[in-house]
Amino acid sequence: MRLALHIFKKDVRRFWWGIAIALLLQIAADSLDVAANTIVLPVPLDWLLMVAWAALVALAVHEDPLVGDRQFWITRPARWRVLLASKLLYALAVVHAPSFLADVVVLAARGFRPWEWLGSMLLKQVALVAVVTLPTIAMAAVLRNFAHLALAVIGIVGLTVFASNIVVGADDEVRTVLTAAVLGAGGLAVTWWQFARRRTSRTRLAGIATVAAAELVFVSLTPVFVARVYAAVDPAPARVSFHVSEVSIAWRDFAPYVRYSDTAAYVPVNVPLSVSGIPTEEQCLFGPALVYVIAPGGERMESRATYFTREMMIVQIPRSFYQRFGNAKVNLKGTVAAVLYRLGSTASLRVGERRPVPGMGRCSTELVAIPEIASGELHGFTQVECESPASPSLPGLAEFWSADLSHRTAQLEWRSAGLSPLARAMATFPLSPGEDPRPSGKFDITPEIPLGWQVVDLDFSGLRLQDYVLVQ
Amino acid sequence: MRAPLRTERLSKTFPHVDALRELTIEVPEGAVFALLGPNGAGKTTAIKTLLNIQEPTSGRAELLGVDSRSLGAGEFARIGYVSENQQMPEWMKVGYFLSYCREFYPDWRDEDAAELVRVFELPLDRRLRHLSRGMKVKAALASSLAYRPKLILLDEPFGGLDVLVREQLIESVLERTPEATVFLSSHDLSEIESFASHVAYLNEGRLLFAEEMAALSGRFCEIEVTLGEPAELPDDLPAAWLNPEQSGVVIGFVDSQYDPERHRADIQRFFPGARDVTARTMTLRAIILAISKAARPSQRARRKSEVTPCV
Repeated sequence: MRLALHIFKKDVRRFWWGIAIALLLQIAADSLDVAANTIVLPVPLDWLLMVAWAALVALAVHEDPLVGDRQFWITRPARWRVLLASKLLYALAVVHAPSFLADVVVLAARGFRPWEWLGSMLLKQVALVAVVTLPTIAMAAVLRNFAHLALAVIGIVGLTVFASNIVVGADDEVRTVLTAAVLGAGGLAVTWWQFARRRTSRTRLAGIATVAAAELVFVSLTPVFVARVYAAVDPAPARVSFHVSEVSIAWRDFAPYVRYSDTAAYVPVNVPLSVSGIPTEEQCLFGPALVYVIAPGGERMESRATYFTREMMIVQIPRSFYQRFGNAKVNLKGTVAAVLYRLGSTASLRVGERRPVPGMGRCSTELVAIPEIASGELHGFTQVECESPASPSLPGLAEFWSADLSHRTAQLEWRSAGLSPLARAMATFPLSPGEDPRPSGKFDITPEIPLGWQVVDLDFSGLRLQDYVLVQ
Repeated sequence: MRAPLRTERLSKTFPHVDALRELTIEVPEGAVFALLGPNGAGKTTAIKTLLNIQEPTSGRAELLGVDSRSLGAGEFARIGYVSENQQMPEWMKVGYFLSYCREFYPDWRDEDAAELVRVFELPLDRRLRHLSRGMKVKAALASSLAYRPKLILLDEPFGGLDVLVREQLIESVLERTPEATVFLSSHDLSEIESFASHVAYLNEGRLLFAEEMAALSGRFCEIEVTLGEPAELPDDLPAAWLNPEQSGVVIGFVDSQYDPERHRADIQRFFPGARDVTARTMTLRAIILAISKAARPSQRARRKSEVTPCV
């Protein structure tokens, strides 16, 4: 440990300027986070900070390079474990300790008790280890210099952006966690192997395999698989099932949903549904549905439902398939992810009030007024913002009651803001010219509390597509 | 006492290149052992394999009684290594560099380091990147001698240095013997001759010889025989007579197993009409040249055919 500390001190002495820049970036990001009453945080600052961390860690690894056979350190009496320990200590001191401390400061400044959120703060550090620290150490350990590393990072980021574009709904937690786990585990294996054995060609292959595996996990997980994982971890307390309803739906009512359809190539079909198994006091939200149409003779056509509610689903049928089987009786099978939830207790806030709301963290409301210079009247909007370290998985409901008792509703969609320890949700309500909501206006905030997940199987037989077509 | 450095059929193969072929040597304690050979002979590969910087393909090496593959911090704390192309932490100032190295060695002696700094005239407040090549080697050597290593390995340490610097470095290394054993590689034969106690020669990865310097100098002799009248060079000359050449009545060769008594008898047997025989001691450079020339049979045959018409 004494030698690890000695090497660590040398690295700090070498890169003090870089560490100072990273700390300044950290302070700037946190000052904005502490002061923010809007979810529009300067995310690029967080990206800069992550780049600074990765660069600092990579430079420190390259300070005692593992690639090559001319390094000064390799015949010095330091075991590889000592060297690795010194680099991990450096990453801890330069990346994780400041980041953890910053989270504590932000939480405390925003009115939360940091010790109550120790678990989620540590989890964030584990994620940073898996996504930033270990992959960076691993790459720096198998690449000769910083330029090679930068090129490799650009390549991997490019590949990831490409992968994100080909995956529908790529921001689910299961996909992110599994990809990060593969990256972290691979990064750890490559790091360990290269520090212990310095067999660069072989560890490079292991590194390439790790990136390929992570990208494969990222692109190959289907929404149904993701939903099954959620359902296994947190199963729904009820059994939801669907049947085809007898209620016919005129296509004009759904014109907005088919407006952007490529009706030359596809025929939008709307199947009316009735749902059972959802307890009356509970709600259900549906994810993307994967549907197979099986024609007589066994020909299968796979499609995603472009719209799915408890009353109906719209499926795009390729015109050639429709022309052959539109009049035939087909079977429709598939799966859809469902999350059951209930509405929590509603909390009322006056304009300009800030306080905890159960299930929504801390919420604040304010009037953003723009004085009309000509008339001297107020003109602007009111907004409600909630922030929570728990990052709730479901949005909340915000209702704004005007002075004249009219009310408007909006959803509070949660968004993680870069590296902030807080997830934030915001809704705005425009005001009429001259309207001042302060005397009697109020906000009702209701959390949606998830109860569990279910992957619902769809199995409808004997359907004639022609009966459900929206646009011929 | 176990030899501080020994190898047994040590080989290292790179794709398409046999860099080291079954090297077997034993370096006695307190020796200054010079591994010689032309550029690309495998000297650096040998040292890197010894230090486990590169893994041997086959065979084994032992340093301070430990298999080279198992060398650990304990052994490296007793080994000093300086190479001509070592990557140094160029950003460090000399003073910080030495104090940084200090922590790695339990046996580090500040008074030795101070003495080396004084003798080498090292500027403590200058960064390594701003030092000349000679000064960098001095700094590296200071960091490798201040803990009084038992085994000092030097890979072409004196290449490109001026004579004064070389002398300084050689003196500093020799001062450590016989407590330390020195193993160094070089392709500069003249500088080695003055201080090496043992010498080995490597060519294309193969060891041609390895022995004590005194024994080597003693057994190699340059012989010149003057005949009474021109005669054909016999085909069955002893194998120890290297590179025989004839020019008129004068025959020259190198006797690689020189023994005055036996030599006299052999001369009488092969050249009965010899009028005069001169035996001259050889420099290391001349010995190596003779061995290298003898190791190339095609060249030897060509040389013979070249001289034949003159007879």
